[in-house]
Amino acid sequence: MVLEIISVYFYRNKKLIFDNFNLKLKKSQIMILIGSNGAGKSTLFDIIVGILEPNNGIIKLDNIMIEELSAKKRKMFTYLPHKDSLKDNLTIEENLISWINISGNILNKDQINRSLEYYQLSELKKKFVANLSQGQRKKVLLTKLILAKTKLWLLDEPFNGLDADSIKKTKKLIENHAKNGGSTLLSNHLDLSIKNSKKIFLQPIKKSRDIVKFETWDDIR
Amino acid sequence: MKSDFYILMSREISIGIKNFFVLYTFASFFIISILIFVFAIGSDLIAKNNIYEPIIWVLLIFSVMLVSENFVSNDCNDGSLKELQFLGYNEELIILCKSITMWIMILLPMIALMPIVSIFFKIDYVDIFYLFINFLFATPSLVLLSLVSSLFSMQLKRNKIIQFIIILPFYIPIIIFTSSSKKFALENNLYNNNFLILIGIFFITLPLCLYTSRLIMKEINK
Amino acid sequence: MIFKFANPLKFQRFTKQIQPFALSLSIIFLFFGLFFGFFRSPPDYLQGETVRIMYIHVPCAWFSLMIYSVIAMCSIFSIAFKHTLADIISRSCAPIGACFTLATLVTGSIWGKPTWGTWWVWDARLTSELILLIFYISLIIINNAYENKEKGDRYAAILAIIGIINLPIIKWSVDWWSTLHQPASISKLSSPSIDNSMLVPLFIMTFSLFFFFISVLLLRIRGEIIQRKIDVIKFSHVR
Repeated sequence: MVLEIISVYFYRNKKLIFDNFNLKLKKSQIMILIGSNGAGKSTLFDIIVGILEPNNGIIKLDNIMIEELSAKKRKMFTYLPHKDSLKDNLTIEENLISWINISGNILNKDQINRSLEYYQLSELKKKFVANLSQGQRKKVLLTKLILAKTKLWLLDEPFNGLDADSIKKTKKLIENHAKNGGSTLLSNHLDLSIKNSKKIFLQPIKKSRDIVKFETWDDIR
Repeated sequence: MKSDFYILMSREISIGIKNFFVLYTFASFFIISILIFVFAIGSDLIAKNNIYEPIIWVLLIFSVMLVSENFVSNDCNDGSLKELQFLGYNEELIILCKSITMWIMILLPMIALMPIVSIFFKIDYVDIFYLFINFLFATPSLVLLSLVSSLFSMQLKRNKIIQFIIILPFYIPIIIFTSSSKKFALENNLYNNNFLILIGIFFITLPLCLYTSRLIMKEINK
Repeated sequence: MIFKFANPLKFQRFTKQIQPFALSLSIIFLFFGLFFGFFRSPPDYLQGETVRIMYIHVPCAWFSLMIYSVIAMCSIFSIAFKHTLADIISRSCAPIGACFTLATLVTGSIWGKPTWGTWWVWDARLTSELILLIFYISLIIINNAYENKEKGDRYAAILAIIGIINLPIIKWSVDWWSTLHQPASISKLSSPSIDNSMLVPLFIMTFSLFFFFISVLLLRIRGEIIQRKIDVIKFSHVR
């Protein structure tokens, strides 16, 4: 099992977001989280990578608990969050080099040049990221997937702000990754079709709490 | 296999070099505010009473606090602080690398600025040596405390001045032992050993600031 | 014993039962303390009748330090175990501590005017008390600065932890600084031997202020629990 989420409970701002949530991601499987805004898609990704601690429940990557992998986990997944974490005053190329360094890969100039061609960013590679449009920034972010060598991809709304051609290319990228034995968990607010994919519909929990109980101190946090 | 420290340091420095503009703003803010003090007090009075030390240190504290915002808030706003955290880098190490970079980038060039300041205030050659020593041993703790204060203010949307209220009391020991070394010389005969206390304060500030910044950084993403 | 109160409702009931006792004990002790202080204790041979302000001033100064240590312990507890009660206690302690510190400063300067001739001296004790007041104020500010109450609690706890380690250093350096600026003759406030006739009202007043602190603290804790319950109910109905 590449990724396992076992009975996760999570509260945020006194609101229950995950109520006994379970998920299992196998090898070469694509899973799409579909849900409206505020359903907790980004929160789920933050919980998986270990930034947020769930109130209850277990998360395992490759059958190891997430708390036990400290520096090792950067070799296990590639997470593209909603905030693109690109530095405005660096060029596209420098941004990618910086990302390769911190994600523990080995630098290779040819690979970067080849990967930039996939989304036709080669002419722009000396341009500062501050001058790019929203879609172009997203393409720079997705170029990281080509350079990544991890088995698990976690993509938070990867199709936001992309044109139709790039969406097709990204889908192809994800399908190829699955063919090579990698697995992908991605989120989207609309339904979309990717070959051999499994869909999970997330909904904001509307538990009727007419009778509010104050039995433990955590209830009034 | 490169160590985490090396990776983070090279990242910080490569970003810091691109941000070289910060140094200009820092240095010009420092010089301009010295000018304001000279106009307010009068150049003769400063030279006669030798009150250049408090002026320099107070201005240094404020300018370091204002500059430290650049080193943290950019990373926090574009999500790369979060990226470093989920890639499994140690929070203490991140802040340590940031403070070392800030010290090298911003405060070491200030030593080159000190001769100009000494001309302004007509400081003796002997005194400027002690100014250098105090500078070397007091500024690391200044940098660490200012980074903690800007981490505190990261999530304050409305009122950024709160960071000054929170952290200024902690600068009291540093400012006492840096700005009154002349008076120590007259009464306590501690002129030469004053910097030992500053080193002591630094070794208390270092673990404290690293630990608290780790606690704050865990809170930021919630 | 602790598990008996591991429930906000039971704790709330407990505070409701205890609080009147503490308040009445405080009033009784206050009555006796003032009586002994005004009528049964001699005036000082140097300072005359002005020494009677000591019965307010000294206990307030003790409590200003004690409440800070309560906040510090609660902060460590809150960082380590994330218990809500620790957050609630430290949040409700901070304004009380600030009031005690302010009372210390005000009574001190009222006492200082006839004895020293000035309202304010940059003496080591006065300065460090002022810094303590600033510290309490910054704790109160940071408790309320964030939109999220939990976040305010956590940040205040972190600040208090920095304070525990740094306040002694600040105190020590201020001591050094003040001996540098003026001779230490002024700070002989407390003569080493106090007569029993003065010590008795001092201790009675200390007990009175202690029970006053307890009763106000319980009141504030109860208010805080009720406030949090209201917040929870509001959030559970608004989706």
